[in-house]
Amino acid sequence: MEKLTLRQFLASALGGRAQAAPTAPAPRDPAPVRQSSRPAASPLVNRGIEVQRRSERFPDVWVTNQRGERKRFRSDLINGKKVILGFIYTRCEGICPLTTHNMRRVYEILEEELENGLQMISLSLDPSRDTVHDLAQYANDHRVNLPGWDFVVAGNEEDTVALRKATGAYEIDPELDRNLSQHSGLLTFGNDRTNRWMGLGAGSDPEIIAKSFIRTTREGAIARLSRDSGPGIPLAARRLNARMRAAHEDPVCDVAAAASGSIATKP
Amino acid sequence: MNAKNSPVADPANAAAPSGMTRRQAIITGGVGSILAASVFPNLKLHANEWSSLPQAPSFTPFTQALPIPNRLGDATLSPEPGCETARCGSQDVYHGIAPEFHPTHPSHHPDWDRLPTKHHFMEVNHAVHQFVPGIETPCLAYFANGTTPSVPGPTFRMRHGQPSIIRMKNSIDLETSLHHHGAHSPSHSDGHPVHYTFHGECRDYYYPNAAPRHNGEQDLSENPSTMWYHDHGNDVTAHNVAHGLAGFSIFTDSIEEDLISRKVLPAVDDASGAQGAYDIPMAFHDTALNPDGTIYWDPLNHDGRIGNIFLTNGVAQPYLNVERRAYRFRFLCANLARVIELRLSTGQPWLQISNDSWLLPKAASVSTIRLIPGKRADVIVDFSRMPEGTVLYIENIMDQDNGRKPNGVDLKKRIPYVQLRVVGKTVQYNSLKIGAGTPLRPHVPITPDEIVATRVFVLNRSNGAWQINQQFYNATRCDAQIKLGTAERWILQNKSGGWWHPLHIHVESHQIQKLNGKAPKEVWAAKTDTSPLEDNTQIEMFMKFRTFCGPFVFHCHNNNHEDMRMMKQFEICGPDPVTGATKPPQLNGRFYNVDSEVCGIPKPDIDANPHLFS
Ligand SMILES: [Cu+2]
Repeated sequence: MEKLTLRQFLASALGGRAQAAPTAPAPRDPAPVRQSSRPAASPLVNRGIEVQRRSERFPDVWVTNQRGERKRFRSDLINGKKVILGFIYTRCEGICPLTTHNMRRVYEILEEELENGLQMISLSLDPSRDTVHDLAQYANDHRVNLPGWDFVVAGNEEDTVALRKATGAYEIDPELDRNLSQHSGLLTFGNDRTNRWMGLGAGSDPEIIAKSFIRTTREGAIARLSRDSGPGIPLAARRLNARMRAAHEDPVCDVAAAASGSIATKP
Repeated sequence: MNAKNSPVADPANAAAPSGMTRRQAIITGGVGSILAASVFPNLKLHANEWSSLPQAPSFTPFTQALPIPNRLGDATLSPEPGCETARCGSQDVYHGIAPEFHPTHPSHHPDWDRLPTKHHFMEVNHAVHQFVPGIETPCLAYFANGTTPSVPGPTFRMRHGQPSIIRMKNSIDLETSLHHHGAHSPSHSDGHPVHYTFHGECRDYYYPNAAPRHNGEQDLSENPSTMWYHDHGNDVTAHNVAHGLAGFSIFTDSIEEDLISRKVLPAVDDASGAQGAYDIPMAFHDTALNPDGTIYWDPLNHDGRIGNIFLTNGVAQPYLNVERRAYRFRFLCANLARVIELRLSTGQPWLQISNDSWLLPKAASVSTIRLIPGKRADVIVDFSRMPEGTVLYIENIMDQDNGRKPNGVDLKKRIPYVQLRVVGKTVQYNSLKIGAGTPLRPHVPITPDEIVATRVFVLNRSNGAWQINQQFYNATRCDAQIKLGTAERWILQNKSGGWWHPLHIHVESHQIQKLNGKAPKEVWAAKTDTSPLEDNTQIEMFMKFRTFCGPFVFHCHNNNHEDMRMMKQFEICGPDPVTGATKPPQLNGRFYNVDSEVCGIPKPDIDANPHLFS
């Protein structure tokens, strides 16, 4: 196994790299393992001890997408990729449509990332009811049946709970934890190659989510970004900057109706 | 985290008040503590517990002396701050300096320049530090000019009336923004989350060290004592603070110097300008380590980071030799989410002299001190009546096992943070002339007739994250526009259902009027910068906005919540420095154009590839 030098190690130490925590359960499905086309990043090693990457805590369970394709969650959807993960259930009347809508806008902003293997995942929290057909219908209804975006459902409730808990979408209070609407508003994103991850409310402004995504998942030194005319800042970020700057100067851009409470009133 | 992960096996032993032998001290270290700490036990993982921490390494506590961080020394800065080649967009100081630095700026009062400005340099870089003896842990650190890095970082030492400039260079591949917590400074220098620097860039942080004005004169009641600084970069605050980016900032003025000369307080500085021998800063921070010695960091733990190794000034469970006299301890809760409640193991009360940055109007005797993340409290402890050889502890009696909130005070689960060993034959009774009720810093209350507006901010939970008034923070939205020189009443309510949110407001102190409808207790009644929004709590406060215009933030100081946008932005508006015109009213809730000079983010015409800015 390739060991990192201390210097390489320090360089990789950025994203709060190492995790030592429970090993995720192995998939129960006996089907043969399909090799992931993407190489996983080098192991994280210090003092000769290897520790887990954050994604190794994601269970490698089988899931099925809206096209009926069976995939392993960690091996096929996470390993070595940049990922955005959201939660839905097709019968959701709460925040899920907003989550999906905002994910779609993030998808559009990050268009060019898709060419570099950005994986969008919408995981169903309702495996007992959501079928492949439901997922396809949902994706079509929201006009998000798009390449690089998998609407997936796990085989059972247990796997689903394990998936969301391992990715940080859980409540300590068991009663709240059973309430699906508590989880459907969380977006989790990261880059498995750099082991950096983050979560944001799915109701955040999509451009802000996109910027956080770019910051969190970027690779290599950013030192030259601000001055070189070369590739530097990803194109998406540059477009985004232009757009946001334009928006600031537009006085009618009052999309966020002021929350009534924060408006000053007479004492 | 649970009890078996605790590095302290038997808190009952740990609390032994005096005459503890070395053998007993080792016992308090817990299971297997005799072994050198560089050998880790085999890690036992809890197969189904996603939130469990790696087991704390075994080590013998109270074998390391409490380290006192060095002071940040002076530096020669080239180019000179504020000059043409150090302006916003320049090669050397890409983010420039606050416009308030220039004497022509309308906020810049001539009396800021009575003393020459002090210059300092700091760099954020990678370091290796032993949090637990024998274990080399890679971390992040502030490097002072040409010295070895320390965790906590070098202590700022500032004085009222003498401006300071700290040129900060970012040499890590993450955004950094230096927040001076509790300070009254320009927006550009405040460490606003989006005013961050990238790798290789410098920013000049200008601190006028002037008090806000009251009736035309500087209001010395607003001068701070114990502040701290820490990273505040957008998305990465929790990560950066958990990896070492925090330090103390100690401020004095004529009032405090008078207290020192009258021996009410011990000297802040020794003869060489280092930290005074009887004035001891203690930063408490909980951490956790992976089996390989790296810092355990779970970016997907959103409730808040809790550790199972208890550091004081960057060292797990150190000891401090104390003489038989009185001391000033400056306590800082630099935890991300853990609430601590501190007491002396002897049961002797604390003499509390400050709340957050400010000395109290009067010293107060309290049995315990509760510190939420971000909070400070200074105390006086007199050891003169304790026999030589007495061993006692500063212990945390608050039990907490997840980032949401503590379980409550539990003496059975108390953890000794620092061992105090009383040494020396010489006794100095009454070394400090202070007791409960001794006047310290006068307080000027904001009166109800000064209030021009009331705002209500409700902290709420929203489908897996936290919001304020049903909104996530957006750096391009002005959530509250405030007129310079006015006072407002803010009502903050925590309705988030099960989480505590330590709420920190930048740039100005706030004066708590009511806590859940009642007058706050004595030590909370004057000035505060971090308020305890416990669950189902309502706090009503008065605040006055003075001196500086521009965007500032207030936010939850559970840094994980903060990074998830549990934050709001307010803009203090006054006359435009060029035109003299006041900004258009009612920007509340609208997007607005951030002034490039004010925030230190160069304009597109300066930089062809503008920063990621959000
Ligand atoms: Cu909070």
